[in-house]
Amino acid sequence: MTRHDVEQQCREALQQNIPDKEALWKRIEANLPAQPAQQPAEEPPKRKISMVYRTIAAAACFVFVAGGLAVWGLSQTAKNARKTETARPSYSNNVDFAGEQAVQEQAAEAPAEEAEAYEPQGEAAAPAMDEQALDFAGDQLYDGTAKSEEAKRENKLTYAQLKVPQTTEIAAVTDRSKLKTGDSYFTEESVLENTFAIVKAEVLRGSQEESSGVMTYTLHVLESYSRGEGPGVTLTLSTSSPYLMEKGHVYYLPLHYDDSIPGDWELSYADAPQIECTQDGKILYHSGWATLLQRQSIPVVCEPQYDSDFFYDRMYLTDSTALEELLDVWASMQ
Amino acid sequence: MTDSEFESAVEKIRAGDSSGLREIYDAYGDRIYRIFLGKVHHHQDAEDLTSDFFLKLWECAGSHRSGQGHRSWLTTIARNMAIDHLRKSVKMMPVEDAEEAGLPPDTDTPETSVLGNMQAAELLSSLSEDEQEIVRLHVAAELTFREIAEVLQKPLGTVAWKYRNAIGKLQKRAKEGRLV
Repeated sequence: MTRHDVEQQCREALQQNIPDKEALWKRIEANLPAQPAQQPAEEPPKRKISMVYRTIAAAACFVFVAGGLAVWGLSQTAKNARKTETARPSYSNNVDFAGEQAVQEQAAEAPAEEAEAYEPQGEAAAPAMDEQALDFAGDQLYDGTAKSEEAKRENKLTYAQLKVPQTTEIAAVTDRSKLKTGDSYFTEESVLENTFAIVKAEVLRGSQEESSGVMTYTLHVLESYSRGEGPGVTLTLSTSSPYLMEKGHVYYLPLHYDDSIPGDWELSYADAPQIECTQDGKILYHSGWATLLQRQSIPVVCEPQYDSDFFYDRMYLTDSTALEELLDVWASMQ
Repeated sequence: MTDSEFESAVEKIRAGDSSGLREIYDAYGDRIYRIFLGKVHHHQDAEDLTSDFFLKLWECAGSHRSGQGHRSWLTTIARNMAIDHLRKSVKMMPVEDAEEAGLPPDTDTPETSVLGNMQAAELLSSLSEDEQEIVRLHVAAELTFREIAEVLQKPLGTVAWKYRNAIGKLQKRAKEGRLV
């Protein structure tokens, strides 16, 4: 028996019509008042504002603008001063923002027009992505760098062109060499079989333990799908995955639960990038997710995370609704 | 019924023309009735509520804003009316009494029925309230997951997930030939 059969049975059982529709209509019609009460669609109430209030408001605006300009001037001075520094203070003790520093250095070295490539993609990118269901997005998406020119020739996007939070604060890491992948092969089936919960979560912070190299992330769980009791709203996750999750970015994370250690959640498969959400309703995933790959997707070239990263050019972008199909596959395994 | 057809029907209602209400009744009367039936489990109550619903719509159609999804708007009104009705009637109907109260008669399902003699309605009652409501809104009221998410004010992913889970449970229970 398929799910479709069950749905069909439910439909047959539930789709009961009004026993005598015409008689019920006559009853309704007989009770109708002569004219319906006129209730125009709600509009915001108009408020009368006296001249006194207008004057006060104008004065307040002036003070606000003048104050804002003064603060802006101070912030520009401070920003200029910071540009001369080579390192930034971190949000975690004794760790560097390796990725952030790299981005800053690149941005500082790049001419003005190239530096714009490090800005999150504006509204111009989103409609092009929506049209033609992720058809090739067009020239305006390319930032002019060598990598994107190459990607353009190959009909691909680069990670920098995705609408994700500005990558300025990569989760803290001191030593990438301590982060190694395992050698197990990724298959969707084996990963999902091993998955107890799938959460959509935003990275609040991340830090690396110096001795072991293990990364610990604190995540805010936005959605949770679980075979039993899932993780709470705040999830602490430790992993040695070299695929760093970035602060402020949102990911779908298949999680495994270790029965021996209560409350200890692990990534179901740490040796590959996790599924990342963009701000315009897309998801970035690697080609191992066979179900997602069936959906119309466009290739995305990412920066290799380490020397033998073989996922960086196997990433794809598709609509986040595809995830429902993946959840369906997972649910069918239960 | 498309949004523009609905808008046009609402315009007629505003003008005092009951043919506008009739158009909406023809398009959605049965679905509204199913929403009530799913909530109150009683044919006569569901009919009364359907009648009240269209009388209310005659009064409040003017408050519908253009561009607002009309199907989820209608469903929200119906759902709220059903909840009010249940609150007023105080007692909730136990499942065992459902047949007496007017649930569909226990007719034999077709031989081809994969659920055999088990009533789908009875199976549904083994689901949680949340799951039942989502299944009913999707299957009986023919709302999309997005519309259900709007009505229930839950994330789209959660609605889709709960629905799939519910169908999965029904599938499993039907296979086992037992209610849990």
